[in-house]
Amino acid sequence: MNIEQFIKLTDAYGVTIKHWPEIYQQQAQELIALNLSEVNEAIKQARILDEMFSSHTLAPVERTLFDSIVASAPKADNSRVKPSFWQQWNIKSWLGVSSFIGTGLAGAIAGAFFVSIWTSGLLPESIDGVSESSGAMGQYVDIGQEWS
Amino acid sequence: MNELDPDAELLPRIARGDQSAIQEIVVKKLSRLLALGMRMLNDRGEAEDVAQETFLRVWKHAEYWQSGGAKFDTWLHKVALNLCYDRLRTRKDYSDKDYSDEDAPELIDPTLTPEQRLDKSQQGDVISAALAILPNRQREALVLQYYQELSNIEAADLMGVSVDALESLLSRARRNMRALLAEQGVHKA
Repeated sequence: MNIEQFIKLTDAYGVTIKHWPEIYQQQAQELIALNLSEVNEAIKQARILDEMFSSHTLAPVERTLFDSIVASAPKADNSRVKPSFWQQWNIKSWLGVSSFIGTGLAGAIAGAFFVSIWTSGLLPESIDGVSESSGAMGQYVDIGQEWS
Repeated sequence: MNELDPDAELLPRIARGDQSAIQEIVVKKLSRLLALGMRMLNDRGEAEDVAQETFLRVWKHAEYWQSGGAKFDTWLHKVALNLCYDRLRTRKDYSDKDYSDEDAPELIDPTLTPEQRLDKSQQGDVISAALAILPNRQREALVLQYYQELSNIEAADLMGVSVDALESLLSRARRNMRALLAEQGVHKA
């Protein structure tokens, strides 16, 4: 880097070398180390301006602004999160399932009871009629035979 | 964590409404955005509005953010700058003309002595007023490079100019600031 380049870059980026493009930082440090009058004058002028710029400080962020921005953010949408198996099966689900199973079980027990009574010959008359009605099918067939 | 973009991992969490990620991004970025708005607009109320609007865009776009493109901080600056320009364009005195000495208004009370003029707090006000007088593009270049500490490449990219053009804008901005401040007796030209 020559002196003209240094002055041009100081004009643009100021005296704080960390604000300079990285590729020039090392070369600038080397030129500064040479203690040349033109380089020193450019640094002096740029430093005065940089110090003035740095005096421009701003009031800190107010808490109310911070809070209002955070409050404007989206809230967690729980419907998007797939619930676990145990979260899905709440008490209503369990009641529904258990009543279904209970009804089925009661039906099965009742059916077994009737079958056991029927096969033991303890069926009452009215129930025996059910057996006759099944025989009615045979009567119907018999009628057909009479027609022929 | 994404090494290229330290903010990228926060965005999917923000999209899910993760309050800790939301607070983290506001803590990290709000003062920077407010400073950008303040220096571009020279109006605290408008700067706060710009910061709020910018975060609304963040909430809206977080779900669609894709790593690998522009850095989040660069995108954030772009959004905030666009909002600043929207506001600047509505001002009666909006212009992209370069500053000329004839246009220079009084930045500080002319009745003050030189010693009073060099008071630090007053100096901050003078800088603020001088920044407001600079042409928009020069001010933008100075604010992005000096105050926001963006790299020359990031600043040039944001402004849509080459690095050479950015350096030219920066040189003119500093020269104009020096002249403005010298006129006010704050800086020896």
